[in-house]
Amino acid sequence: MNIKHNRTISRRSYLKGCGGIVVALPFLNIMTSSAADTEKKIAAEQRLAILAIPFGMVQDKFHPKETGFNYTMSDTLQHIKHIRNDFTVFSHLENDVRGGHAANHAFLSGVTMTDRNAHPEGNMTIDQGLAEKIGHHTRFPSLNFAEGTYSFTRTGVSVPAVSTPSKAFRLMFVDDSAASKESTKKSLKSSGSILDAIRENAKRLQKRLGKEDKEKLEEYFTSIRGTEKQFAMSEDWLDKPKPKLKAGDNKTKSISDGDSDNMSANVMLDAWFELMFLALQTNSTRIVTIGINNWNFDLEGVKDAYHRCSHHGLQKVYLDQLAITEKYLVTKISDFVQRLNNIQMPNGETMLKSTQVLLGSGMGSGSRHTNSNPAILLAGGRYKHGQHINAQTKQPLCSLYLTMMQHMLNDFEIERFSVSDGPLKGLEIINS
Amino acid sequence: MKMLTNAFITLSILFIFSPSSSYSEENHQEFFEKHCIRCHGPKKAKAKLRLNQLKWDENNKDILEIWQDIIDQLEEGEMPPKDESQPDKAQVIALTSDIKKKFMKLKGSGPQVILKRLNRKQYHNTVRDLLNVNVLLDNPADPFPTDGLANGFDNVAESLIMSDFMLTKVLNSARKIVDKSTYPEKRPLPEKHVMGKISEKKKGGKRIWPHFTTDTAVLPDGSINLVRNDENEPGDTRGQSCTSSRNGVPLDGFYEFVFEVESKGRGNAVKLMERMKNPRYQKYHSEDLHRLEIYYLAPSGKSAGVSQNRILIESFDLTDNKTITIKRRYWLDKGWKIQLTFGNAAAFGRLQSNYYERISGQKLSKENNEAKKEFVKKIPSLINKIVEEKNLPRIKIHSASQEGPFYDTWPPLSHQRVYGKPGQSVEMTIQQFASRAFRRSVALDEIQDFVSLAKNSPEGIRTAIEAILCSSEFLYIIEDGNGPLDHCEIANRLSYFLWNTMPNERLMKLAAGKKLQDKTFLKKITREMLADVKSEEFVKNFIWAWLRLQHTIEMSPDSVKFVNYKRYRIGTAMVKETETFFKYILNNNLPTSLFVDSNFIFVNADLARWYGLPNVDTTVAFKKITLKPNSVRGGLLGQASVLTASANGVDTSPVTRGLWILENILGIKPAPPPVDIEIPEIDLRGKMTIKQLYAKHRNVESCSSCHKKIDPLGFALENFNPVGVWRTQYTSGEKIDPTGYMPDGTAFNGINGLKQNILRNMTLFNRGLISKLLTYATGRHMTTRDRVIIDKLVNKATKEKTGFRDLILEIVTSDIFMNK
Repeated sequence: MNIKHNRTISRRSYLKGCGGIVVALPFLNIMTSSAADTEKKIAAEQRLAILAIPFGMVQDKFHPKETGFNYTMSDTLQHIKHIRNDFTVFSHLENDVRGGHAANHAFLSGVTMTDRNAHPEGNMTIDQGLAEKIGHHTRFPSLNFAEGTYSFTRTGVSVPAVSTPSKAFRLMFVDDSAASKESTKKSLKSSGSILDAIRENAKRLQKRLGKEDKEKLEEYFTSIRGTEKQFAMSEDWLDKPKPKLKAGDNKTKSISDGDSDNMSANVMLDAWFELMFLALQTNSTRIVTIGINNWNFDLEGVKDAYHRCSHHGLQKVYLDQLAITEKYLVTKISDFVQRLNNIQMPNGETMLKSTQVLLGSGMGSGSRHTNSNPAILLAGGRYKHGQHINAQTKQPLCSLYLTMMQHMLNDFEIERFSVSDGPLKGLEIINS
Repeated sequence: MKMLTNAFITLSILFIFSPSSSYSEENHQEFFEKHCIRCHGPKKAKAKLRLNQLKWDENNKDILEIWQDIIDQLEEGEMPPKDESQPDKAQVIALTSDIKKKFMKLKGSGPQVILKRLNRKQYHNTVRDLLNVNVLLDNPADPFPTDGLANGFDNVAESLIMSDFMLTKVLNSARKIVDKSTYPEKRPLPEKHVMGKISEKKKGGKRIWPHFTTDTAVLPDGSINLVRNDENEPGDTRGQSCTSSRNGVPLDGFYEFVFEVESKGRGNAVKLMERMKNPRYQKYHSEDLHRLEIYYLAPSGKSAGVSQNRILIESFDLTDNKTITIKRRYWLDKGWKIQLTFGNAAAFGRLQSNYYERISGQKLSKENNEAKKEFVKKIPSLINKIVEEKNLPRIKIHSASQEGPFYDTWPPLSHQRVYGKPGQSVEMTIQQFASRAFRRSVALDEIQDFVSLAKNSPEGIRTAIEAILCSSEFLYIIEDGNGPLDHCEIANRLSYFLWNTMPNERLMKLAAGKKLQDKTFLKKITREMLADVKSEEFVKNFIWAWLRLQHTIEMSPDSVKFVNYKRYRIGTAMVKETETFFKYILNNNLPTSLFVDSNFIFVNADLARWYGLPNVDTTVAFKKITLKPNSVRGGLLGQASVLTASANGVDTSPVTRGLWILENILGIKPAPPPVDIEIPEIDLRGKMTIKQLYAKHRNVESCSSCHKKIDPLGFALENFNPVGVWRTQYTSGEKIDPTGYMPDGTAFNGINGLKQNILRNMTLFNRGLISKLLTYATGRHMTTRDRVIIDKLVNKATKEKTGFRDLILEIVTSDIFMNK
């Protein structure tokens, strides 16, 4: 994206003139005055990129022995030592959920579906918590890619993921036809009157119900209000053109053509990382989660399935294969981090400074089927990175999420998220 | 044993303590004083229980659970402990029957949510029946989020959530449904397409292929041969096929198909057929009849269901060398197609040239020159020649045709459901639709909001219909007020229980005629409904929840390790086995003990091989076979579905399987493990036997109290691998030791020992089954308030050995079902 121009143009004329060839809007260093100020402001906002994996990582190999800034790289992290100063690794964050695989979905909330009733925010995940607050600033409040088992709303609804790369591409970058926009407008209008009618009708019903059912029906009323809000937002976005990408980029072309749909796990993951990057860079959303499940990556030296290897029972043959898969996964993160580090933003910072990158799992050990002490790694953002923090099972995983939320929202007064009531100690944010 | 229920461990902390004097039944207190208070009193309070302070509180379900536990502990003789002085039997009975009397006075579900949102399946079926619209292929519930599960059930009120996310999808789907239900004025004319014609033609400058297409050459007589099946996974479209057209049908409608097919050459050239060494490829079993499969094929770019783009409609075992004519009428949505394949053909790799090399025995030159290109073009017809000459195993399709679209009436009935009869008033149309949609009779003044919507604009009626499809009274099953369900509510409960859809016209009429509160009549109706094919919905959904079959998909078997699991469609076959087995017991009104052990099962050829049973020639139909004495396959516990659901797709664990048996077969739900337990690494490097490994955590006190009841049960199933195949040793070579003991300490050996012990006292099994049936039927959790009625039913099943169908009739006419 390092296109150099020696004249300044307004965004509108730029778009007009370039037709299909253009680029990611917000971070282009060529706008003037107020437009540029807006760009700078947007550039400075924090973004969040998450890679959620299904079986954790082999704990002994992942977690470093020493804590603090002078820790020695663990076997797994050794592969990404070149970005050492760009991330922090965590061990023994308290993850008080049970169920092994069945609790993996609690990775980003710290609360399982079954326990959701005991918590005021249910099992809302960090991405949805953030989307509630800042989602209306972007076309997509948040995006979920690949597997939709990691993201839940306040009411416990599992947010489905876009499952094929080409579809995600269309959603983000291909404008609807004028006719389809017109029909969307029409249906938004008719939906508005439908929502009014069903609200009035439900009020009649409510009078007939007992106490518990009345409370249950509240969900319905809340949904009507939420939907109205969403529709208002969609209407706002409808006439705004979607960002255009540079023509001739083979990678994006092949994604939009569907070449990576339903392909091998490696091809898919590469496509998802590309789309995650583009989504954030074009400010289509500020929150992206890639969820992977029992995917079998095509890697030299790996012949058994990922899930099978995770049940290693300390046997070398499986541990060796897991080491290869885990190396592959952390390397994907370091590649992404480096890529962000090479992007210059309008405000002069690298994109990494304004993007938090989280890698982790809801499972601690795939072999023991436990959820405690999961592998968690956080890169990017304005943190003072380069250390290993051992939370000694005294601070919940959600404390890290609370810190990340505070950073995202630039609001350090937020007191709680999910099961945490204070930010993570030891992780410092440098405001420069 | 009941110590395992959460009550003692977690709930007893919740007491609000008050002076014992406020407790009125002096004799209870006397009994407690004498036998219990020393351990469960002011001084010791073992299990955090203080009986001197226990009060009756019918609105507190935690307190009620403790009272229920007291009954259970005393009746089962668990308390007082054996080494303490034992109370007089008569005293125990006096006390327990006194408490039971109190329970009997509690009517209804107590404080619980019973307002049920239609789940995905119910919504799908209800839309279908409400509008008489065919939504099998383009399912309007597809975009909805997954429904929350409660103990495996997807129809429990509390767990069915509504959200703005969902409501947006509901709005969209409502629009699509109305689109789909309504038709333009002009009736389209049917067209006919056949196999063998040149397939390409031009329409408005665009090339289309309306005729049948196939990836083989057409023989001079116009027939084609299906010879290979190269699917990577069953259901993917790589298998050789004959497809009704390339573009799919032009319009929604019924299409009539006629196929003339013949199975030929079965059992010939077996050596040639078996040459593919790679286990991933399908083997040809010459002893099985050839199987023709008919699929719905989704429009390109659209998937049908989770990851596949086709849906199996039906399959046939074909008799050898006999041409049969298959006539079918299928509803196809726009763009969908029909596809025929030879389901159990051998695989040869996907390339025509590979196949040619194999059957001709000739190697093609490696050079890529003009001569080779020319030759390759001829391969399909050369293949045909060899296939015919050598009479290789194949399904010959002599002819195929498609004609349509057809409609039963014009405009189709669904159109009238939306717009009403011609000339009918708007009020009337909306009222009629709302009454059907709300599944009760609706007065005009209740639906003013919809009527005014309908009158508002030229497109008003359809907007109003869409609104009704998004309304709370359509989306929720409503049972308001207290006490007995009214007739209409019974019709709804019954219909969703047995058919998983809205009540049909007849049921609604019976409700309007106030017939359904009569128990004898209700039983008659239930019997009829069970006999209807729609009751398959009950069988499928109930089994899925009861036996937690969702696990077989969530943690699906490792595709590398268990390559044949997918290859031979075991995943589908094993569920079908369990359904067929369940239906047989239901339809023949057999005792529930057969679920624990039976001397028969139902298998197809693939499953029979999976189980190591003698050959069964049918690959499609499930045959009832009688098992040898001491077979391990009788009852549910020997079925691959259960054995796969209770494993995790990679290996087995006595803990998971033990827990599965405890929860789903014995109906006991242990408390979750305490927090902050360090679970030891399971070291499989062969230093310790599996038994020793698991013994380790049973020696830890905090684990032991539950795991000494869990793990030993699981060991009974260790002889089955994670996909239900019999084994006597682990892959490490270690011999399997399937001995264990029941929660009460009785030792057993292997699965048959376990079954004998469960059969000895069927109370627990029946209680578990009946509670789950009731949960499924009412859409709410069973609590201690329901226990007295449940126990009556359990008694019938256990002591009187009531048949399973009669048990369902008892359930439907029980106070739990007939009350809110």
